[in-house]
Amino acid sequence: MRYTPSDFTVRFLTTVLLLLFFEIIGATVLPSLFSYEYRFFFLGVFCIYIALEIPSSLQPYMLLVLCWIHSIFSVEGWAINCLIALILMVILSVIKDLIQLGTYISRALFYFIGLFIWDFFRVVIISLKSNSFESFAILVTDDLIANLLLALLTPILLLPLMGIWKVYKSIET
Amino acid sequence: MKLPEGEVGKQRIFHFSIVFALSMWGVIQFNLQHSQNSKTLFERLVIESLAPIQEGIVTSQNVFQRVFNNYLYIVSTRKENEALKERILQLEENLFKMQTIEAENQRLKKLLKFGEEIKYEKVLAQVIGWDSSGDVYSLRINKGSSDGIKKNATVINSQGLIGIISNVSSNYSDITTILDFNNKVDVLVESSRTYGILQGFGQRMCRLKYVTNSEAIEVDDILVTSGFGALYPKGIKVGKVKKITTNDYELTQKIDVIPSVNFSKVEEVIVLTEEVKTQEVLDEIHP
Repeated sequence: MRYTPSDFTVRFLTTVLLLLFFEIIGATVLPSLFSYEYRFFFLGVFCIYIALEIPSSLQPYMLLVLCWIHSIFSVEGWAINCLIALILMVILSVIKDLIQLGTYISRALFYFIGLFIWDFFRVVIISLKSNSFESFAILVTDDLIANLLLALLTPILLLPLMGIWKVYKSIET
Repeated sequence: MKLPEGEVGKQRIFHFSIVFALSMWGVIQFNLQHSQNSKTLFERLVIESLAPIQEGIVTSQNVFQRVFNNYLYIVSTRKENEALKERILQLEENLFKMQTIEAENQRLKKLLKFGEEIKYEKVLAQVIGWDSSGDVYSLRINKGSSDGIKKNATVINSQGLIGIISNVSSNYSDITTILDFNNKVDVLVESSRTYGILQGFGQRMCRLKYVTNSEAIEVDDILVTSGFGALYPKGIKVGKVKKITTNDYELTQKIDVIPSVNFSKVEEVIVLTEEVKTQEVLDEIHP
């Protein structure tokens, strides 16, 4: 689907506001409901969706802005997440014609794998920077449960994004 | 892998290269000691704008919970005694408010009493949010530079050491906790006076490093800050030894530590801003 520049800008700003909303909920409301142990990485879901569903040459800049928004709510900065988002964008551009995300389970599974790969690359970069791979296995598996919960909710969470970008894929239950 | 072709393809590669180079530069510049990274003025302004929303949500949650609990109690009381319904409603509502205030009062008294032993200027702050990422254990509090908080200030509560201030804006600050993988604390074992470095290790635990096999450490030993590095004041409780693993082929022991602070229940914190100068010290400085 093609967008005019003004249409694209409005849709992207709406996406940014939606991410802001989820980040505030994720940093403030969810820790008191699910305890501080489970942190839901909404940025990952947004970036994977953008990389997969929005065909635009401006994708890298969209990912950069989303990662910067996330950095407001985190001390880990924007650069690491942006780099990982770009790597995932390249991977997804290769495989996206091979995958079918028609069912709820397949979509949830796909995003779970995507979030796991994101965590993997993040821990690799942090371990390389700190020159220590001692906690590698623990850090990679630390957020498995949170990512699984988030992945199971992803097909529902993506509905607003689909509405914004008018990219509707039928989900057969 | 087939590269995108045509004019659009070239554009995509061009844009990708720019953002990739920028990200690589950002990763190289990024310091894992979070307190060394500065937020720009624009980022601080955005935090100042968004953090009140977080604070408002936390306050609303508390109000909603109180109203809901009040409603349940009122319904059960009405069934028991019709004649005294209104009087009991009023009394129970006041009692619930008093209990909430009393609990908060006890918590704050405990915090203040604990803080009396530490000769530092103290700022009390409320936690309004947690870090959005799973690997980075940081908190956001509702006090900032206008309240005297500075970067690298130590943060504690009545249970022990929480962490260090990593980002400060006018009215809000971020704390990197001791659970964070990149936060290292100089500690010593209270009983044996053995020195080591405590580092976050994932799964909400910490690990004590650089302790040789010859050092006598036992399970349940208490760890306190050593005061080395001029970052954390000496003598603040940090955690307790949970498990010790030694191998003949390694020089150092693997010591797992449970933090003394229950991070799932941190609501208020104390930030240590400036060391209080006693009269003796002041006389030395200004004779």
